[in-house]
Amino acid sequence: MEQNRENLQQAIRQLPEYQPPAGLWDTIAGELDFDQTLEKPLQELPVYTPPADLWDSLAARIEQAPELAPEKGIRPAYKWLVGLVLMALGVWVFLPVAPPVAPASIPTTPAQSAEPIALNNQPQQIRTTQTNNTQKKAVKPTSKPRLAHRTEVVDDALIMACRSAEDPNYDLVETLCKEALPVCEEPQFKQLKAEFDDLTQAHTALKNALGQYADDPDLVSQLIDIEQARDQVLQQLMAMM
Amino acid sequence: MKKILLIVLLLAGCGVGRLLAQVTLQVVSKNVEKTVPWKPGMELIVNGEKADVTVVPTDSAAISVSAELSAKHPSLDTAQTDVNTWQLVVNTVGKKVYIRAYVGVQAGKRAPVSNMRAQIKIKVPRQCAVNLSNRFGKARLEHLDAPVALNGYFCRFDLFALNGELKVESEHGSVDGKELKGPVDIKGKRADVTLQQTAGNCSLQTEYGSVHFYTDTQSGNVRIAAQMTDITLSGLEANSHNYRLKTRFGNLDVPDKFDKSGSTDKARTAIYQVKPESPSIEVETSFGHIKVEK
Repeated sequence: MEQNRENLQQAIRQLPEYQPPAGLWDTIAGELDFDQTLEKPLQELPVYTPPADLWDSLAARIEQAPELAPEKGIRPAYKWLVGLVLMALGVWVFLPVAPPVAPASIPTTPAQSAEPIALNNQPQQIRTTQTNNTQKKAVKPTSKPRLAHRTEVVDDALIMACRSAEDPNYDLVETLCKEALPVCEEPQFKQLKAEFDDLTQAHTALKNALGQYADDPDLVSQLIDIEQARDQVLQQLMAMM
Repeated sequence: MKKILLIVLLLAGCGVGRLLAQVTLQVVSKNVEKTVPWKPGMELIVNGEKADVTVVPTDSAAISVSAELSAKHPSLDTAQTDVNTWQLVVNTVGKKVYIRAYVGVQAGKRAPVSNMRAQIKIKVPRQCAVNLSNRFGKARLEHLDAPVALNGYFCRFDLFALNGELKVESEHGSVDGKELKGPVDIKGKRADVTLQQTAGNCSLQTEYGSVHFYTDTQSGNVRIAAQMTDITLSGLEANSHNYRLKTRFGNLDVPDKFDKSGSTDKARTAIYQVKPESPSIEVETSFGHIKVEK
């Protein structure tokens, strides 16, 4: 039970009241200038990359959850149907992705005659050109942001290089070291393992940056270099085990 | 038997599809141009991602930016939606001019699924100091007189005719420098470094990768501390430097006139002295080879 509640409330009621000046909040907001205040801290914000084994651990947890595990066994009558669906899916996945028909709101026009339209004019008209892995600009730069459109055909080899499956041995080192093998505590092994993890982290970051459609030959080349370096380190690790 | 047939059919389907695989990307781009005034003493800070940045000099007292921000996706609608997430911010805070190209996603909206790429060309006064960081891209800087500081992750640096102090930190991105007149300080990790026609003192610290240093009569003192890095020094006949080389667990490939008497099983050393007052090239690496050539 609170003591002297009435006295306290009476004292609060007797406190003087003040009204702030009318333009106070506007003045404070003006002085803060959020954009400028936040600019420097934003520049200095650290960038974090998730641990390299994040997806593996998530996948392991899903496998351990029986309600999430896929149902086993397919009724014999559906096997052929499933086969056909999978085959169609396989063809669909690897077939060329044809340029979709431009929607009505985005008419494609010849490059020579079309004028680019400012971004803030909706619906947008975009100027279309076709190139074959070239970076030629389709519009002249102006003071307003404008949309331009062109097409690029990505070299099949670049995409395939990025879609190559991970070597299952990559997980083997993790698995074996969880069993507390003595070699895993050796300094040289730890150094190699750190290098391996470093490469794996870089590999993941680069693969994410490349996106689904690897259109940058330089980065794809670096991705392959990293995979080769990782393979070499992995071989050294496996040899030590 | 049925299982085998099933697998064969599936593989055949994948194989046919794979042979025909080819992706046509719809590239939607927007061009942005901005200009801000510049006064002596102001510094330019560039922050990019997935950007190809070019910094060139201008005689005007202003910093101008011309950017092509693009999104690539098989679906034109998707590319068009995603390109609008590109943001190019140019603002001045005190004595710093910030240029930032980033993909901004509003709360509740999906992240872009297109391949995003920015091409940014910046014109700066020669006396403007430049601080640039970039990830997954390229950067070329040329003909600047002021200090330059660079930071890259999977970013290839191409540097030409920089007369001020140069500092570079690069991870997974090569550094090619030519006609660098000021002092050079490079820290590289898995970054191949090539330097030609340097006039100031150079300090390099590298891990994994390679260093190719071309010395000439104008080169200053060179210090290279490296690990798991192969180092090649060219221009022996064209300069008058003193050499002090050491590699642990690596090979030395030097002309006969180098003194290798201090070598041991684990560490190999080579010394070559022209004049005591001459500039020196000091190299120390481990698990890497050192080669000196004409």
